[in-house]
Amino acid sequence: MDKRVVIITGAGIGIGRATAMRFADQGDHVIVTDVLADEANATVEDIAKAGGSAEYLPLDVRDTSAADALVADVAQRHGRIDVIVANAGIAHRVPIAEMTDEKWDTTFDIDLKGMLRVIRPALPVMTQGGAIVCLSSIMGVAYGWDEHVHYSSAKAGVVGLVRGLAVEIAKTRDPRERRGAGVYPHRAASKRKEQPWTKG
Amino acid sequence: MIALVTGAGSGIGAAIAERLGRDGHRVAVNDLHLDAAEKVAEGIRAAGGDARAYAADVSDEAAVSAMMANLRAEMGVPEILVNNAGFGHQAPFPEIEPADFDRIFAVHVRGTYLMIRACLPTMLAAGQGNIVNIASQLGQIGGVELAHYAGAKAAVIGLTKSLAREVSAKGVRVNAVAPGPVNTPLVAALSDDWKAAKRAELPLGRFGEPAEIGGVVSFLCSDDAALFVGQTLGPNSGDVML
Repeated sequence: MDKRVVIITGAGIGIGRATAMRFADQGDHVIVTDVLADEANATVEDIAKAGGSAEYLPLDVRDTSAADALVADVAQRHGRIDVIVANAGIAHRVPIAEMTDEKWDTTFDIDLKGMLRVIRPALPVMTQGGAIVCLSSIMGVAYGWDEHVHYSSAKAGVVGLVRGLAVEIAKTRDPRERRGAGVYPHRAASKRKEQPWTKG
Repeated sequence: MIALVTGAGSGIGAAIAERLGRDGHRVAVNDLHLDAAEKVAEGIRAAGGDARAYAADVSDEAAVSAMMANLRAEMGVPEILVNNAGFGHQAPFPEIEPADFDRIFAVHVRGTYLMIRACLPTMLAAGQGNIVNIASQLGQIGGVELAHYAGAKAAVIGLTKSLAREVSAKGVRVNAVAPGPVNTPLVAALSDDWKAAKRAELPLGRFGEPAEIGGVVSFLCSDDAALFVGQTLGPNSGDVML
């Protein structure tokens, strides 16, 4: 395939969806991943209607073997991965008095470790260089968010992930091609959907 | 749109002017040296763009006024202003003379202020404008024997944030770019030992090229950058991660 292959997690709604639409509009083939099948399929359909190229692959970024399998499938069928946009995330309001270990871990598992799970298997495939963009938040880099201490912490962690990864991989192969970056949206007009498995 | 780029006779400024010309803007190429500015303007025209050269010392109020009068008469009112004019000077702190300090601040800070002062009223009247100030990563992290230079560049970042808070709701976006080491005449003058050591510590393993800074300015002046207000973008090969 001549087109660049772009994997976007959480591309069913909001910023992930808009990012998918934009990459497709630029002529890239977009791998739309999400746990929200209906919304993700709608993103793929809208891209197709606009003349773009996309496919939906279900992915729960909490599942390491699923992420490994998805990346292996994309690599096998398309032979390349050019861009990863690690966007999937949740933001649940939890006052600190109600912050259980489980709630904390769930947010970190999705918002931070979920990025590692997709990036890790993809790096060996990105031999021709590429770009990795991780969505952080202004709440992780400039402000704190009350009753979202787990979210603020995880999003601050995303910045550390990006920095460490950038230093480690920028020079690995062609130094002109490999780069990582964090994006910190603030109050983007997006719809964050509650999931049954992540409520509260 | 009409884009005015200061210090555009060489290096990063020239690359910014060339890129904005390729983007379809009509470019006013300012430099202290008219022949250098004219050469860049010729290049933009040869590539199918539209450009004119204007000589002025941006730290000189009268020279800025005269340049702006000519520019408005010949091209029109700038809707994009890129404050890039600057120069390097390095000295151990005890050897930084007051005249060195004043000259650095005059060109980088006063020059930026004077150019914005000259261009902002028409931008506000039109409810539209883009100002990009070229700072330096040294304004973020400091530099040995560069207290005056780094101080001036930090001032540019503070000015950028303040003005952005003041005018963004009126349609004028103001942002800064803080490049890391870039292959310019300014960096070429540094020792090979320094350059080799610096290159080795960069995560990307190489210096930037002027055209890559031009790309960042092009982005900031585009609609894709509509949410960027008072930001300092860092095309720095990974040298500074903020």
